[in-house]
Amino acid sequence: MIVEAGQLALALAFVVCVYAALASALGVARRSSELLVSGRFGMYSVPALLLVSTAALVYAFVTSDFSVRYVAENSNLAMPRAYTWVAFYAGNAGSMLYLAVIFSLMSLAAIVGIRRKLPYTSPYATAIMALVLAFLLGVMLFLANPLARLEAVPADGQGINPLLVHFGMFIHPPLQMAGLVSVAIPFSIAMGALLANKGGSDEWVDQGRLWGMIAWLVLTFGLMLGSWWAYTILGWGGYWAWDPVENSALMPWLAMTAFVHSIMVQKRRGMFRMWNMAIIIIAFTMAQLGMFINRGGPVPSVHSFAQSTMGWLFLLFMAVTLIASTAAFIWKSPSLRSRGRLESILSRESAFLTQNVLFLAVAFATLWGTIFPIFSEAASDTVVTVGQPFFNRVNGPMLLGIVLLMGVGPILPWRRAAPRNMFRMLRWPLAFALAATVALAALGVTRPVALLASATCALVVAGIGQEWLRGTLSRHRAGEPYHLAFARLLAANRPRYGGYVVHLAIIMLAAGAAASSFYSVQRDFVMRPGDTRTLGDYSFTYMGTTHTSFPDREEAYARFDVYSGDRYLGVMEPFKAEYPQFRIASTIGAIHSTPIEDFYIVPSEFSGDGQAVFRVLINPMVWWMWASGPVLLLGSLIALSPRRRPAPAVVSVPRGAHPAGA
Amino acid sequence: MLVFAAILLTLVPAVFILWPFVARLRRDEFEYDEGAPQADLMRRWESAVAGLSSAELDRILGNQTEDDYRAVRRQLMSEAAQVMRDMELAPDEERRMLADLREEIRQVRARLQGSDDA
Repeated sequence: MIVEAGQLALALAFVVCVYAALASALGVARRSSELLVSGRFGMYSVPALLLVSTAALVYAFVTSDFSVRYVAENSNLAMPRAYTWVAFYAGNAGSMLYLAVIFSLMSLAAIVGIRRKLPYTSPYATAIMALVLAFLLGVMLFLANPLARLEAVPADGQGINPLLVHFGMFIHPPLQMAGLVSVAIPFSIAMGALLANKGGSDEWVDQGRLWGMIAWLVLTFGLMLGSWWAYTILGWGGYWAWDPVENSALMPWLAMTAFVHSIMVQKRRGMFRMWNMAIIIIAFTMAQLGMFINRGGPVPSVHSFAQSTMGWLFLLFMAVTLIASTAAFIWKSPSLRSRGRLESILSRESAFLTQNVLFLAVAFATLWGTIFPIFSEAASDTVVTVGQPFFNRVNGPMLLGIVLLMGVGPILPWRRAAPRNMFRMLRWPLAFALAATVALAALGVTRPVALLASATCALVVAGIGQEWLRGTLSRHRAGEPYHLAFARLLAANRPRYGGYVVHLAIIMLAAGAAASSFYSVQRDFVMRPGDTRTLGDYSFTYMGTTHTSFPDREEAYARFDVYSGDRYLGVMEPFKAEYPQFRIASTIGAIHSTPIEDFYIVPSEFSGDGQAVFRVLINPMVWWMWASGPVLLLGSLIALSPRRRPAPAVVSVPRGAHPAGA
Repeated sequence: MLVFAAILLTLVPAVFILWPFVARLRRDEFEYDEGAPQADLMRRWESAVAGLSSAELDRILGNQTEDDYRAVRRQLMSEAAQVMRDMELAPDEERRMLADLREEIRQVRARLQGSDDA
């Protein structure tokens, strides 16, 4: 009965979403407050309905109700109960329900946030959010119902995909999916403003920025946790493979990064109005492309567990929203003229624009590399996949340019900068970058690209440090202790200084990625118990492997004693499990991680005579990539935290007042 | 039992959807217009104030030369004055807004020179 109630709630949620979209549109057309509020209230009830469906599915999992197809396909009696959460979104139908629940909750929060501040934009935005949600629910109801029953009930389920049985899976997929779908919120607000003829006024910008930042932050953590999962469980020693599914999450992230920067220019100067609309359309399109590739797109990917035929529906929906939003953009573009103008090529606005262009260039280069196999197959009947060298060669220089702009941009003031002053402000960061380059060269870093990347990162760090130092010293001169001066400096201009903290996190990430790309060492070793080998400063002795059989898998734990020079680091135990039912193997590398480098052992093969093959890697500075996560979160929270400003003395403006020239 | 659950589930959105028609709404949803001239003027005013604060910060940090600072400040002050003219304010309201603006800039200076409680 609970499952049937969940199904009914799902159907009701779909009907309510369709109603909310229609009521909102009609409410605007007929200027009916009742219809508008009714549509909005309808959207408020959707999360409650979807939570009933969610509870029904969770109940089916917990009670191992294999009469529910989705439960039978994604769990079994042996599955630990803790993995119910992972099994919930392990397949297409469940992940659709997860997406719908998350999006309904986000929509609720967004609608509450905009209903008073943006009363003209709000109905359109509500209608768009309702349509997006109706699409997700429609797909579920008609094609992939997570609560559908089976006619013949199996005694046990098929079990969860073993690759998903990992701590990272508790967070990475839900964040990744939430990140992709959350792009629809700033998109809805922007399109709402456009359709309400308010795109030319900048009132929507604050809410657009807030939701843009939230989507960006969620996407960022989804990507980082995905990389961490790949590094620790996929057992290939890397964290990023330019796989189509990875790329499909990276592309909207790049577009959203551009958006959260350029929206600041609109807020401050009333510029980039068309540009921001265009970027959010691109970001939403790319997010939908991501969902399409995730769900059975035509490009081969390691994320095969998410494959299905419903991807084409996402492609269709993407095409429809792209055409509709582009048409609205073209139709309303005369109202999107900028209030300000670019006064100088040397200005913060100009730096934002250049950086935006680079972000989009990386996004489109990644898109081209990702979909190239489709074109190659169409043209020559041969699937040509584009690998890491293409992406590194094309995107590498552009990403370096973006990092460079992170160093130069913040020292440029709004409107205009004097070239002499800019170079004066850059001299210490440049000197620091030079010193860092010389020091690294002396330490043995000789590859020019690695030195260039290091110098760029050092320039950014020194630029931020210089600005913090000047601000802190300025306050300290007036009598504040250093720590208080620094804390108050950050608190006084949170978006700016929060942004710098985020930039520092990005530098940590970039430094880790650059160092591990250029200086990773990898070797395969064939070993017998008792054998000792060395790689770099590390020596490791293979002590043997323990094999254990379980009903669903064979596990093998290898054991190593590891030394760095003469220092004993301890026992490392890489692991491999084979799941005959799924015909896949899961390997978990043993990692000894320090800020300088990771020593990484992963088993490749075990043969019957005790001999085994291991892949051993030394990955420099990967630790910094994972450490950047909390820093990035801190910076984002600082940037987003509201600052109470005194209300303007004059709040009542004569009704007939109008701006000159309007 | 299922019928009872179905009725209960249907009632949830029905109450939400029908409520605005049953209860008399006191507020006109279109009362405030985010794109109205007065809203636009307030936004332009806040933008000018934020620009002045930012220019002040950049000057103190050394990112902006004195000459550029003065030019930008002149530009922003004239924008602020234009906004005030467009607002068609009474003289005492105009004075209050100007006082607000000076106070905002004073606070930015004070924050950077360590004499506020920010």
